[in-house]
Amino acid sequence: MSISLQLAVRIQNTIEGPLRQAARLSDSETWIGPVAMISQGEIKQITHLLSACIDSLRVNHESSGL
Amino acid sequence: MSRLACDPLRLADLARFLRSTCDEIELLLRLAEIGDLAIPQFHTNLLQSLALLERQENRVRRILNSSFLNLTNSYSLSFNSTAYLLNRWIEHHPAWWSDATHGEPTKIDGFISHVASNAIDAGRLIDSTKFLAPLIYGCHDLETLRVLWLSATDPRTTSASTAGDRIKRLVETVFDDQDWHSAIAPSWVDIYEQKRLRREIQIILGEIISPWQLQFSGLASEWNWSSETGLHYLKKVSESAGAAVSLSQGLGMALYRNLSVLPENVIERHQRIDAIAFSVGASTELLRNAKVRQARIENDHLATLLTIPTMLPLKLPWPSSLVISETNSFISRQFDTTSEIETSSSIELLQQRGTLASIAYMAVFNSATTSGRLESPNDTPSTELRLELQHTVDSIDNSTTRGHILAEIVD
Repeated sequence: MSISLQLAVRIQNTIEGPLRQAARLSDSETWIGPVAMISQGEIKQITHLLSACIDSLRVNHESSGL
Repeated sequence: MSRLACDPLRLADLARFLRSTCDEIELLLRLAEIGDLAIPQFHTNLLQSLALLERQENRVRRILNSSFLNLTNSYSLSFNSTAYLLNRWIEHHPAWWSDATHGEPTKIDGFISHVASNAIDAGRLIDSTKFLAPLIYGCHDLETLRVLWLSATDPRTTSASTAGDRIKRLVETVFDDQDWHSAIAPSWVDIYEQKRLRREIQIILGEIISPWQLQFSGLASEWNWSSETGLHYLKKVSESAGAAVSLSQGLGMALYRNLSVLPENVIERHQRIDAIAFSVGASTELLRNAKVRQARIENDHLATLLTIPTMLPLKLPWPSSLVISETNSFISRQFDTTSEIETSSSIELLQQRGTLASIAYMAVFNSATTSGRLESPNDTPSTELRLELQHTVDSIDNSTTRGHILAEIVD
């Protein structure tokens, strides 16, 4: 498995593992007031950035022809 | 859910997952580097994600580390925080300060006793209490109060800046800010008990300040205040005879501790030695003046007591009144020890500076050994080190000061 693919798998596992748990815990059960919204917004942004990383790795993997 | 704006148990779990995500992203960055993966956008996105995660993690940890949560171990959290309960209790009991004078343990004694002997918890309680007066004047049990403050400012466990933040607030509360005292109407106050508590608090203050007294003058910059302000408070503390004794006894240890670790740079090292010598000069002089002032106050008290009979309506003839007045003055002069104290305290000052100079010599020698400037204590010191040691001794105990004080005694 190429390095791009390995990293993509790791990132996907991170999104589905600890990051999803962090998103679950950044809610109005944990925070009272607007902090919950800010936290959830940030977690969404992180998820988006990591998904973009997977896309970059996929493109790289495909262009390398491995 | 409590009144707090967060649930600490969930917050602790959140902190754990955020940390785990951060660790994973840091690992991804290292793996990409090792695998020589040149995708700029990938790298930028990972760094941005890491920054966002760290920002969120810092926010969560700041709350978890606050004393409003009682973290006895990493994730076992509860709401029985001393600071939280204390602050809430004070809010609903404006008469808190009069309770301390009622001759029995107060609610604040109970709060403080839970954390007093633990340096971290004691410090957290002090740092989280915006209104510090209850942690000084709210206790009947002054031993617990003493332990609380000594734990939170212990030089072995507390950094200079943290101790500075705590002690500066303490002296400001004791000597400056007393608005709370007149602003509220307590139930009743035992004035004699209150005076006793204040006297004892002054003595405890001397003990707390003692290891940090150099930061009140020459090393004032470490605490971000001026030496004038520091000396102003040090003088006020030394007005209590008991506090002055603690300050005097703790000076040697404070000197040794502050000289034992010196900067590598020679100019900075000499500046530090000079600043410490300045502190020693200021402390010893203040302590001598405090002794003389104390003797004057005692003599004034005696003179006042002796004048009481002359104020009574005895209807004595004028010559008799004159005789009584002269007798009073004679007795007052006989018991006046101010002059003797002035002389003895000057001699003590000289002796103390001699001893402190020896301690400073040992501390600088020790610093040279631990920093590698002197390989072994049995080696002959280099010329530079010998000069430094001589400079240290001369800065603290020099012939000019000895001459000056001797002239004062003889004059």
